[in-house]
Amino acid sequence: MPTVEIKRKLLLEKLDKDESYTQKAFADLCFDFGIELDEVTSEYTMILHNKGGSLTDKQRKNKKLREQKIPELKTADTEDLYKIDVPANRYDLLCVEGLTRALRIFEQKQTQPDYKLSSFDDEKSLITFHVNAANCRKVRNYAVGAVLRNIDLDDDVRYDSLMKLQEKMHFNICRKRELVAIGTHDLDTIEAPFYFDAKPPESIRFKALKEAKEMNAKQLFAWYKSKEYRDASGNDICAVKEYLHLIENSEVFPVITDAKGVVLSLPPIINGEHSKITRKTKNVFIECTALDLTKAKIVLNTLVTMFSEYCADPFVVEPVYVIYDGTDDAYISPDFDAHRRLHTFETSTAYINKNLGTTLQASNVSDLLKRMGLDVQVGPEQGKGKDDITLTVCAPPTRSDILHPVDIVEDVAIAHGYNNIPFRLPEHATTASEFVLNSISDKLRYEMASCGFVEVLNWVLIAKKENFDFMLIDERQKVQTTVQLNKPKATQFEICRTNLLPGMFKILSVNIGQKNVSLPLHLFEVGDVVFADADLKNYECGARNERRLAALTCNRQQSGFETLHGLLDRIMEQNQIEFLPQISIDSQYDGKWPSAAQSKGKRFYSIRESQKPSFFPNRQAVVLVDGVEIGYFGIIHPKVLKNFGISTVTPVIVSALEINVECFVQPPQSKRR
Amino acid sequence: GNLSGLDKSSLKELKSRKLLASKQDKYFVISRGANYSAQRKEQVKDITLEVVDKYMDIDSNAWNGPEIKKYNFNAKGQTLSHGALHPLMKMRTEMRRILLDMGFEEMQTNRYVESSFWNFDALFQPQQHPARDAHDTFFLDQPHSAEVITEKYAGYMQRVKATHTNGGYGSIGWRYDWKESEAKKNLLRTHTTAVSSRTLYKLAQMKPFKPSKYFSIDRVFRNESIDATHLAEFHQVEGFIADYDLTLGHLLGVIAEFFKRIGIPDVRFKPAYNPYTEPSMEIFGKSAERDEWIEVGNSGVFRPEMLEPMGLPPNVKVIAWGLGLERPCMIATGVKDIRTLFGPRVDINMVKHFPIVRYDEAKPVQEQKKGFKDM
Repeated sequence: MPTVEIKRKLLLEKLDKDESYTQKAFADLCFDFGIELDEVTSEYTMILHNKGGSLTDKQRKNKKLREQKIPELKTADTEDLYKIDVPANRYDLLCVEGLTRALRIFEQKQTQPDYKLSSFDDEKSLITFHVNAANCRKVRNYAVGAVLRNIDLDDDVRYDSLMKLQEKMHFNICRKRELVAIGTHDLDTIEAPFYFDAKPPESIRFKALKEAKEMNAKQLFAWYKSKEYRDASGNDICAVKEYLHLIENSEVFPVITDAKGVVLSLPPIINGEHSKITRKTKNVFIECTALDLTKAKIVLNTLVTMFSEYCADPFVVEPVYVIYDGTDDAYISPDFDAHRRLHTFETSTAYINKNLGTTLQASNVSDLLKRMGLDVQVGPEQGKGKDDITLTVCAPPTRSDILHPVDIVEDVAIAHGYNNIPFRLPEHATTASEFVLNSISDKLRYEMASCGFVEVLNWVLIAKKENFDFMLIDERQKVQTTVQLNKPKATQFEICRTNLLPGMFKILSVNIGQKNVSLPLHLFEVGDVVFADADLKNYECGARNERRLAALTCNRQQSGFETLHGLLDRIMEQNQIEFLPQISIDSQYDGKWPSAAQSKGKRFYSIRESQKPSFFPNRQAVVLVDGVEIGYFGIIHPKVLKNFGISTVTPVIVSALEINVECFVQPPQSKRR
Repeated sequence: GNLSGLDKSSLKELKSRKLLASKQDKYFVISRGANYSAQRKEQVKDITLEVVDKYMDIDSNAWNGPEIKKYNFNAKGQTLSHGALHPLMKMRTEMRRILLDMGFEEMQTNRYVESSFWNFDALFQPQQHPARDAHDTFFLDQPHSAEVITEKYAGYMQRVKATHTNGGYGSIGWRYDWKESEAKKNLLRTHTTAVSSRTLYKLAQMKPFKPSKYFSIDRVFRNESIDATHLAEFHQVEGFIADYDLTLGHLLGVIAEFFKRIGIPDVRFKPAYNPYTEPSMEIFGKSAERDEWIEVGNSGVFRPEMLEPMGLPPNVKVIAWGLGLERPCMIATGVKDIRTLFGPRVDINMVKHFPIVRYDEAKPVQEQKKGFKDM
C-alpha cells in the first residue's frame, strides 16, 4: 500500500484542528475513511533508523555523540511525522494536498472544488503538443499535457509535495515509468509548440538533469551505466538506472522538444536541465508520455487537480491541444468534461439500500456521497415510488476509481459507517460437505499420530539440488515432469517438490543434535507434491498435484526398516486393502495381478524389491495397490544422509516410506453400492 | 582472625587492595533423623505381579511384606514416546470443522499451478496491476502457459476480455488493451480466490442457480524473500456465500459469526481496496490480551464485473472473506520466527508439546462441574 507522510503541525493546520486534537482521534478518522495511520515517527527517528546501524550503545543513548557520528541529525526535524497508508486505487490521496482535502470534505469542512479548464475560443488558440504518431508508435505512443499558470510553489511544502507525488505515481500507477512517465517543466524557459517524437539516440543531444555537460542519448546511457557514476564512497548514485531497460533496445528513443529544438525530456528516463522547475517557477508545463492512455489521463488529472490549488486562479487548469501528426487524432488535454461524462452513473436509493441492507433516504444518501467528494443529482422517483429515487452520481476528475454503481454503494457505506450497518445472517440453509481427499488425508494423519509419529509441515518450494542431487536422483531424467519457477526472489527456491522426503531430511538435519531432541525420531508429513503433466485434457495448466504421505524413523541402534514395513501394513489395514504377497500372485494368479472377477471386490497391495538410488541396496521395495505402483520404502542410503548434512552431526540410520494416498479415496468394496 | 566486626566498606577496601580474598566452603551436618535405623530396611519399590504373589493375600486384603516405599508425587511422571499433530494443522482442523458446522462446502484446492486467467483476469484484476508483477508472483518456466484455456473457455474468456477492455454490466471497465497471452501465463496461485473463481464459474453453469456456501483452507504462494515474518508460501482460509440479494449487512453478520466461533467475539470493519470486491473491508478483531484492535482478515462483495461474465444472474450476490492461518498460529504458539513453525527449520519439540486447539474459550461455560465425584 502506498504511504503518505505528513507532519503533525501541517496536518492540524490543513484539517482546522488545534493542538488538543489527539493522535487517537486522527487514527479513528483514518479508520472510518478507509486509510490507516500506520506509524508516527519523525525525520530524526527515520535518519537514526536508516543510518544508525553502526552506532554503539553509548552513542545511541547520548544525543551529542550520535549527532557527531551522524551530522545530518543536527538539522533533522523532531516534529511528529504521520505515515498514512492509502488504498492503491486512490491516487487522489497520494499527496498531502489531496489527502487533507478529502478528509476536510469527509468532515464537511469544505465541498469538493469545481475543477475547471480555463476558457478558450477554439483548440487552435491553445498551446499545441504534436505527437509524431508514426515514429512514436515504435516505442511510446501516447502523450497528454497541461499547463498550470501563475502557480506559487515557493513554500516548504508545495514544491517537495509536487516532486513526491510524481515519484509515487511513477512507482505505482505508472509501473516504474513503464506505462506512464511524467515530466514537469518551467514554461517560461521554453517555447510552444512542443513536439513528441522518437529519434535515433545518437541524434538526441542535450544536457540532462543534474549533468555537467551535454551528451547524446547514447553517450548518456553509457555514462549512467559506467563505473564512474558513483559518489565519493563508491556507491552507485544513478537514480534512473532501473528505467534504462525500458527503451534501451529500441532503435529510436522518445524525445520531447520545444519550438526551437530544446530538449525538454527523454521519457521515461530523464528531463533536460534547461527546463527544470524550481520553487520560483511561475508557469508549469506538464507532459505525460505513455503506453496506456487511460492511465496517462488519470496521472495528469491527478497532478493538475492537486496542484492547481496553488494557482492564482485556484483549480483552474489551462489545457493543451494534443495533435497526432499524420493522423486524424487530436484531443484537448486534460478533458474534465469527458471524464465527467464517462464517470456519471445513474443509480437509485433502492439499489443502494438493496446492496447494503439499509433504509437510507435520498437526501441522506446525497449527503453521504457529497462527503465522499462525489457530485449527486437527486430525482426523479422511479417505479416503486418514494422509496426508489433516481440518483445521478458523477465522479470528479480526482476520482478515477469509480467504475460501476457498486463503487458508489461503497462510498455510501463508508460515509454511513460500515459499523453502523445492521448485521444479518443469510436465510437459505445449505448443506456442508468435505472434499473427500482432504477427509481421507486427515484420517490418515490421525492414524499416523496414533502410531507414534510426529507431524511436520514443509514447503512445496525447494531447490533442484535438494529434490534431486541430494537424493541421488538424476535430475536430467525428471526435467519434463518438474514445475520450474521463473525468477524466484529467494534463490533456494527453484522448483515445486516432487517428493516429500527431501524436506523431511532437511528437518532432520536441523533438529538432530539439538537439545531435547532424543532418538529415535518418528516423523511424518501428508502434503502435495506437484508434477508438470502433458495430459492437458485433465490438467489444463499442464501440471497436477499429488497427495502424498511420507514417514521416517531415525535411530542409532536399529534401521527401523521393519517398523516402516509394519506401518505400511497398518495403513493398508485401516483402508481395508489386503496383503497379497508376490509369492501368492505367482502361485495363485499365474504371476498376474488378480482380475476384478478374481478379487471379488477386494483390494490388494503387494511389495516388490526395488533398485532406487536413494535407498540402501537390498533393503528397499516398491508398494503396489491394484497392481499399480503407489510408493516405496526402505533404508535411506547413507550418502543421502550425508548430502543433507544429517550424519555429520550425529551418526544415525534412517528408514523412510513415501506413498501416494489418492488410491485410498476409492471406497472399499464393502461400502460401495 | 575474626572479620565479623568489619563493616562492608572496610571489607571492600581490603579486597580492592588485595589484602583480603573471599573463599567459600560447603559442609554438611549429619545427625539421626526420625526414621533412623542401624539395619538396612527392605522396601517394596514397584508393585509387580511377583510382589503381589509373594506378599499379598488378595481375598483378605492382607499385606505380609516389607513396607511399600512412598511414591514421590512431587515429581512429574515418565515422558512418554508419542506421536503428535502439527499446530498449524490442528488449527486448520478446527477452522474446517467450524466452517462445516456453518454449512459450508469444501472446495477442491489441490491445484497449486494455476493460469493467470483464473488467478487474476476472471477476478477483474487488470493485467497491469502491481500484484501481477513477477516481483510478487511466481510465474513458471515450465509449464509456461495454459494454451488450452482459450478454446476450453472461449465464450467466457471473450466476455472477460470485453469487460476489462470496454466494461459492460453497468461498468466502464478498465479501458486497456487486454492480452490473451498474459491471461494464459501459468503461475503458482497467489490466493485461494483462484479456486473460488473456478467454483463460481461452475456454479454459474448450473441451472437453476442454487444458493451455496463454499470454503477452502490451503496453500498460496508469493514471490517474497524469506524472513522471520514472511514465507513464500502460507495457508489461506477463505469462505464465500452466493445467494440472491445478499447485502453488505449479511457479510458483516457472517464474519462476526465466524470470528465469534474462533474466539474473537468483537470485530469491526475498515474500508479497504481490493480489485475484485466492492465494497471491500478489512476485518479487525479485539485482542483480549493487548486490548487493541488488530487486523485479522479481509473481505468484500465480489464485483458484478467478475460475476456477470460467468453467467450468474445479476441479483445473485457473492460475499466473501479470508484470513491467513499462520498469524493466529504464531500468536497461539508464541513462535516469533515463522520458519520454526512451518518449513525445514520446524522445532519438533514445539510440535510435540503444543496443546489441543480449542476455540470454545469465548463461549460461556455451561454446567461445568467443579471437582470430581468420588467413586
